[in-house]
Amino acid sequence: MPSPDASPSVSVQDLKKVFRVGGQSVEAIRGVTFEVPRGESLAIVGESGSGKTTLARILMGLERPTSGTVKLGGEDLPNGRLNGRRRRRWAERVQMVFQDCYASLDPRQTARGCVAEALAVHHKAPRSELAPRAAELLGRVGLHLDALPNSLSGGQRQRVAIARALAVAPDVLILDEAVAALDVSVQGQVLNLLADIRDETPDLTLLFITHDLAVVRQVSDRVLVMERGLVVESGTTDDILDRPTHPYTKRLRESVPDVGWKPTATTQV
Amino acid sequence: MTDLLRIEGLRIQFPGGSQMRDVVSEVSLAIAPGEAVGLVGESGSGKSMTARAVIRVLPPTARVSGEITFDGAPVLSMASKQLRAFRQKDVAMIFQDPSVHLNPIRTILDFLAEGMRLRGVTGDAARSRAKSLLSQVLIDDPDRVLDSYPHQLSGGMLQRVMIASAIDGEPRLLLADEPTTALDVTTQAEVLAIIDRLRRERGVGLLFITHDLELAAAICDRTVVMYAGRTVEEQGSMAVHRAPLHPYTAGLLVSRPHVSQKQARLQVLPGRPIAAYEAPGGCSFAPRCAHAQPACEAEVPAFRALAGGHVACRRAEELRTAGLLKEVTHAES
Ligand SMILES: Nc1ncnc2c1ncn2[C@@H]1O[C@H](COP(=O)(O)OP(=O)(O)OP(=O)(O)O)[C@@H](O)[C@H]1O
Ligand SMILES: Nc1ncnc2c1ncn2[C@@H]1O[C@H](COP(=O)(O)OP(=O)(O)OP(=O)(O)O)[C@@H](O)[C@H]1O
Ligand SMILES: [Mg+2]
Ligand SMILES: [Mg+2]
Repeated sequence: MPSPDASPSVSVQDLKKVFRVGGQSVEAIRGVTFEVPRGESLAIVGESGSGKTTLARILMGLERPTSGTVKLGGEDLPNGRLNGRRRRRWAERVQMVFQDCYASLDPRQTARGCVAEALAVHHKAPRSELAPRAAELLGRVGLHLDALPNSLSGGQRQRVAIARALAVAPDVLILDEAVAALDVSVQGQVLNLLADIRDETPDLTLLFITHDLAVVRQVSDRVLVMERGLVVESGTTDDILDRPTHPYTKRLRESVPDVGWKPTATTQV
Repeated sequence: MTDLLRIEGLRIQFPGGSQMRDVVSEVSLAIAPGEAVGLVGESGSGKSMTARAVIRVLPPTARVSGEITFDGAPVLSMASKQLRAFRQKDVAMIFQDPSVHLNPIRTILDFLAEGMRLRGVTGDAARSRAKSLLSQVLIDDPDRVLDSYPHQLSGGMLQRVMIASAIDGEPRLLLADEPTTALDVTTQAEVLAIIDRLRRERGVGLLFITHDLELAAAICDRTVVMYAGRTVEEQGSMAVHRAPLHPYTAGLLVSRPHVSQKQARLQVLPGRPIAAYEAPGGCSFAPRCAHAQPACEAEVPAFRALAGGHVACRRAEELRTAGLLKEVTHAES
């Protein structure tokens, strides 16, 4: 047995996930294998519907794989439904900021209450420290107001979710399109914050699901490219962005909007 | 030519503590038929609220003043029958958060068919129309998607369902609130091509809310920049890019990451974004502006014509001449 410290932070072996919708089956993930060393930042890019969020939900223990294995720091994802204490233990190690953060925030809880709750549940701060620590975390993502989710703008809600995930200080942080709704100046702040956090906690592993290749360049060490439930290419960020080899990756690279770029339909419908 | 949409002096307030607080203080913009106008700006600056005011779907506690006209007709004073007709025939909005606007216990077909029913399209005709709409937005298994519930679809699929529903009614004005944030760039390019065609061929007016200045430059004729509830700049989209007029816009251009080169840290604007009601007297950007002078804090700068656009900055000419608003390209930095 390798010691848990030497094992990769995330290890996924031949993972498959099939959903049933009515009588049909949807193969969301069709056999995915990869490892992420401790402390690495991995970007996952790919077509809409290629299985990125499903993969993240499996890592979070929110979805059972149809087959294959998932390990965090050498430890297998527990079998069966995660609830109660096991759910909390797993959540302490892996946190996720959801693409649809509206659905993941409790509408009755204010921004500060939400972050304070995460601190309390995972025993990250004594009672008297909860409110000031929560405010501090929100400040780090550039949010200085306290309000219920439905009176926050899209980008403000997204930042509450990021602060809540950071509150838990997980080993693995999964960000699913977490900066897509942020304007560039706030996005820049959040990306810089993540870079600072990586410097402060070199063991933190980041999985960054994003469609924005400029963000990929800025935050990731390596990139995984997904298409229709499969990994079609992976490599260092520079290789993938500067020397893509798979046709899909090439198309992706060419579709990045730039001045003078025009939206064009390449497929006939 | 008369404008399709005209917003003048829009102000939106919410009750906060003992008084009303601004979330939008002063927004003015116009869209001609077939024109695409980009709306960019700080998170929380009031972009979504502005778009929602146009179709009057603000939260019930909101108080709205100013003027919004569609094809010359005042929107804010429309009676409910007129308003219903306006929403059904003339305008469609693609919301920033699809899940808020989709009923979790109804299928995608139910959702799409609802709008069609109002126009008398039902049954098999509705299903086949829905199928063709989904194919247009590049969903490759439309039958499965039609029978799915929202939680069974990916983020980008939901966003495309919203786009399909918005273009279905053949509106004359399309309000798109960050419509492609969940789409990979290849799908984004194709979906935007559909919207682009609508405005070029059918004269649809487009308000395109985005935080992506490159995207705004690529698909919009003009771009409007908001800060803390106010319009602070308006110019041709390319010009906003190459020669911004407002220091905030210049700051945005510098702070974005770039696909061709990694930076140790992004050069972000100092300080934090503020809501309109927190804005100090004078220029609301002054506390974060590298070029602010005491006089900037004395009064709110007028939104005035300059270099073919408009800007709300006392020092705009001076800063432009001194080359202080030039975009710093990443090769130089
Ligand atoms: N609970 C579910 N039931 C049925 N099908 C599902 C479910 N969740 C996801 N799917 C399907 O699995 C596929 C992959 O979805 P997933 O959300 O993982 O894609 P994604 O790569 O995150 O896409 P996007 O970039 O658009 O967010 C899609 O076809 C989706 O419809
Ligand atoms: N129901 C509400 N009650 C009070 N304030 C609200 C309400 N809804 C939104 N706000 C506030 O109004 C301001 C403007 O919100 P809006 O959603 O228009 O921002 P936005 O420019 O679209 O930002 P983003 O880019 O983050 O989506 C925000 O500061 C927000 O906190
Ligand atoms: Mg997803
Ligand atoms: Mg918004």
